[in-house]
Amino acid sequence: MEPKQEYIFNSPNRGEWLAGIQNIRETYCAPNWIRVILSEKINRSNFACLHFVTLSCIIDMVSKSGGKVILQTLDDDLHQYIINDVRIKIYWREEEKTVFTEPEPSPFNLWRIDEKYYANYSMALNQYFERTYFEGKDLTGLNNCVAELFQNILDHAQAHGNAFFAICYHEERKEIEIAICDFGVGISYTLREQYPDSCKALQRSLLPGVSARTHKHNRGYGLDNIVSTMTSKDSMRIISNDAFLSKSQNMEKVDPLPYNFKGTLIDFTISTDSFDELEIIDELNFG
Amino acid sequence: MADRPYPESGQMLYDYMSPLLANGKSVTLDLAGVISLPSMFLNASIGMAARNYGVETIKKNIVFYHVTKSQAERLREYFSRL
Repeated sequence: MEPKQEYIFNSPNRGEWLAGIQNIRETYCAPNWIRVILSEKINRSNFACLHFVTLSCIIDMVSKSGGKVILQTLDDDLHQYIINDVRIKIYWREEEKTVFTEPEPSPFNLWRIDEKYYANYSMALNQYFERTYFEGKDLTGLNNCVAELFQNILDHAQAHGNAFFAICYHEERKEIEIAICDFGVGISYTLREQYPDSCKALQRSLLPGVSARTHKHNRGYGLDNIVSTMTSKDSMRIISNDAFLSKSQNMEKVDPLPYNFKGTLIDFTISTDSFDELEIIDELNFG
Repeated sequence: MADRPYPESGQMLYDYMSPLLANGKSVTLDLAGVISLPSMFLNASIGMAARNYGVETIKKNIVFYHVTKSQAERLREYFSRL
């Protein structure tokens, strides 16, 4: 079957990329096959975690609608990386859709967020980083971060399996890059009764105690836990519904988006300089 | 509790602690090998215990062993918000 719709991405720039993703979401006609072309300006060095997770969500959206995505990458190195190294296709093979994939022996990993496996992912990720780059370091903060992000999706997103997580360690920059994307209902939607304005909802979602309270274990400390561990070298961006938030330790800015990104995309960088040496306290009590 | 979703393992911990706390007994939690303490785990275990038995009871009766410095900070912060 030939693709009936074609979409070209000419730039890895965040704004242009996300506008392109949104365009696909708004114009896709099920169950068409579509061709997605990544121009030669998009290459392995500038293809980030956020590109992987949003692209994966698009592929999943089309796949669930009965169509297929033909991905054409004009940069050969990037093509090899996406198809052979990351093996993005495995998430849409019938026999492998629900398999748990151990972290690859590379600094990059992409996972579909599945309730059955996310405890495995957290454990495997921790073991991988402990064994390789961060032996003897306290990874509690990173592990908490990953767990909070996963659980937020499972509790609130209503993404019906269309949610992906990517993590990459950039050794030369001493940074861990994380991106997580779902095509669910979005943060503002879940908080609409408390905060009808999307920008306000997104800002408030970072505060302690603000929660949709969809489950008894929600008390609104998820995103706050991530934000409170940010150091001066860390940064975070969230796009959800029609709001965009950008945050670092001393700055927070939220702006309206010109479109409604139904779902949530969170991407951030963590400086590994902040990873303390592992220190064990024998006993701790609060009495 | 390994390999279970955090809310479920938090519930399991609460179910273990509850009868002990109800009878005024101490609970010792060994965190060796525990890699994270996310909010959904703490809410389902410690938070639930605090709601049902009181904050002062759990502060008096729960002791943690083999805690990393980050986990200790996390727990201090969590207990301060109860």
